[in-house]
Amino acid sequence: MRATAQNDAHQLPEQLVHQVWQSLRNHTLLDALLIVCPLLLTFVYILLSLYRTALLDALTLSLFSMAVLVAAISTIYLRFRPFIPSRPTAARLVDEKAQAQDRFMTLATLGPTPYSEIFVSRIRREAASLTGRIEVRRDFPYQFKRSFYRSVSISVLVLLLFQISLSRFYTSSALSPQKRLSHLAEQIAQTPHLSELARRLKDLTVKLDDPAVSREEKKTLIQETRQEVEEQQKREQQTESKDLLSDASSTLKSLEQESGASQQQDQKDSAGGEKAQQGQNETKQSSGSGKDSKGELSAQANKDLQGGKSAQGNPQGPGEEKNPGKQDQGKGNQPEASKSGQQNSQEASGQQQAQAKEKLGKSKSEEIPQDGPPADRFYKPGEEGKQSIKDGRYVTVQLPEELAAGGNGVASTSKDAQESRNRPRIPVSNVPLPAHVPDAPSEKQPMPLEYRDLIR
Amino acid sequence: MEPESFQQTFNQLEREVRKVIVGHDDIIRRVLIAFFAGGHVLLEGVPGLGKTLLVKTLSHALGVSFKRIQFTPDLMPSDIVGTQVLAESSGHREFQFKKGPIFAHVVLADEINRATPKTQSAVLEAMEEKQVTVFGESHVLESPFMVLATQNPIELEGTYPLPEAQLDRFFFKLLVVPPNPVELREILKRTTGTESSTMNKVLPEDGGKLVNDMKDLLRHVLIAPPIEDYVVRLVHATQPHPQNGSGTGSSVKQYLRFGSSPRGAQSIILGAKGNALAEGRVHVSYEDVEKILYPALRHRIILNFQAEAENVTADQIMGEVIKQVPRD
Repeated sequence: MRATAQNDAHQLPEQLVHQVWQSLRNHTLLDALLIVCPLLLTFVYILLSLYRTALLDALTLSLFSMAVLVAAISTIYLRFRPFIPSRPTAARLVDEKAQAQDRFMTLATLGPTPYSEIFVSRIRREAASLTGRIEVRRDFPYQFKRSFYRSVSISVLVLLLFQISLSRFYTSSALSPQKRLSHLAEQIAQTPHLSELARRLKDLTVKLDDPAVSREEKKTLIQETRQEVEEQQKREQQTESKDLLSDASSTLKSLEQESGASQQQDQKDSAGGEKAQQGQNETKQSSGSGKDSKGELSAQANKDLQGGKSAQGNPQGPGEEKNPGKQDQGKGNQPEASKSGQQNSQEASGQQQAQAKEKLGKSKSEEIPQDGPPADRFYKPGEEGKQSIKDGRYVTVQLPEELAAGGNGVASTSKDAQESRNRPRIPVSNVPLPAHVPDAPSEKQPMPLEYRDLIR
Repeated sequence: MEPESFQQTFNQLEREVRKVIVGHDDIIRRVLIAFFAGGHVLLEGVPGLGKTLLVKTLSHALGVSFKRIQFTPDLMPSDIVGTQVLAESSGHREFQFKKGPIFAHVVLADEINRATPKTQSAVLEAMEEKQVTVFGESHVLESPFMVLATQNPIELEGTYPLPEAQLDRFFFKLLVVPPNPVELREILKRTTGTESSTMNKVLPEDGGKLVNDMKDLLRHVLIAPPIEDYVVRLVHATQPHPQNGSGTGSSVKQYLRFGSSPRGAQSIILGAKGNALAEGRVHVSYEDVEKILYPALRHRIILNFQAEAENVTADQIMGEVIKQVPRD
């Protein structure tokens, strides 16, 4: 028993050195792992992101993953092996901590050469008495190295750059809604229960590229598909799938808007063509002597005046609620009168253009088309709208009493219209307008003093 | 012999010598280490520092015979080793060998650099061979045998500096420095008053066997292979030529003509073992090596002219070497 206790005590210094060596070796392995793992995770994240966004196929992903894994293992091995401390080094560290004056190091490095056994056992006894000074975990704790912090910083930087590049890639004009929809369809197809929906989306993208399919049909298909996607999105429980469906829904909306906008463009083009034809016909027929050199402006100003002002046909006091019916009547009377005035002004403008052409000797193709389709801000024939300018907001100006008593709100004769044309043109209103409220009654303001003499 | 007995005897010797010698504790320890390591010591210092007294006290404490040789320029080799004289015995005349002062256990070669090289070489043979040859006849010197040589660093005229080959035979070169004020006060108190210090013999008259046992024990002290490698690297670092040595330090290349010989490494290891035993250990540590390095190598590295012109000492170069050579 005593011999066993002595043997145990004799084993202790070598055991302690072995424990310390093992601990240091594990620290070295941890160092290598902490250097490689952040970079490895970054690469894996990049590969998976590229795969999810369908920029990388499964085979390429597998090959890259294998290559990255092999590189990581090799790096860990190459980093780990040369840095494993030797047992004499571990023994020296124990000597330093225990202030053992190289006893542990001597015991750890004595070879099979015949040394005095008495001396060896004496050193072992002395070293064993000092082992109590050492606690492996306390005296040899793991400390994070600078290489780990550098690895993490580089990984975070690479991740940020990748994310920025990826988001820029998706917001660039290279990805049209159709292409985006196609990508989304591929991503959605990876979810088994959404494969049917993904197939429909892909079919939709094919039909959108098909010129044989009419615009109406495309719009209908987009609407139907969007409804399906939104229904599926409501039923969906997985967050990832929900996000994809939400993306698809917004893409389909933008496609719908695009198709609507293109339809309106077609309508504009067709209406503009009709107007040009109409204008040309009027210039041929008319023989008016319009002296107003600014034909376009006069036409536009007439429109503005007739659409905006109800002064002539709507004499009401300030503060009174407008009678919508009267207002509408007044406004309704105005378009009829304005139409005839508009025709006359168009005739005059057409004549002036013809004269200008003769004077300058320009060919028809070089002239600025005066009789072209009206600007987008004006309503086209057939479009809904009470006023002539789209989304135009107008202020109802209240005439002074003497002027209001004389007028009945109707531009009666062409002579009056002629006279009104000869008067200097003034802005419809220069007062700041409040925010537009669609159903609010028109606002009434008193006419500014400086304009009262001008309007008769 | 047990290491504890060695330490006990060693400490006792130190105590007895300190009764007479004030200060110089490291000198006393190193001289004792050199004695038990079987080496010789060169003491360098200005006159009046107690070099001769130290040697006499030491030999008295050891209980061994002591002889002092005052080296002068006219000293002949036969004055050291002895000579044959014509003597009459039993009615007829014959030559008899009369032993010289070298035939002692501890020999003090005072101001060895004042004697001619021929005379110096006579001592060197005795130091190396532990024997002398006179008229073709060899006479073995008794063990233990130790030569303690002294030299004066300030008197250069009329002196014959020891050649490098002879310097290399000394185990240690110790620099004896003047005492500090406290030590000087103690010296004055002991030497100018009525007090007289008495010291006791530590070793018996026939203490030769004991000394041999202690010498044998010193050689059994354990030294770890990494520490041996450290000694090898240190000695190798003193070589200024790249093909011979590592030539690590710029000061080594700049100021040394020759580096240390293998005797330097032997001195370091034996000296470190002696130091470890004196401290009660049976193994050598890195600190033992670093303590012994200076006395073991300062006389073995040869400075060049530039070092002498710039007053660079061997100790400064040794300091650079220790900084540049890692322990592992």
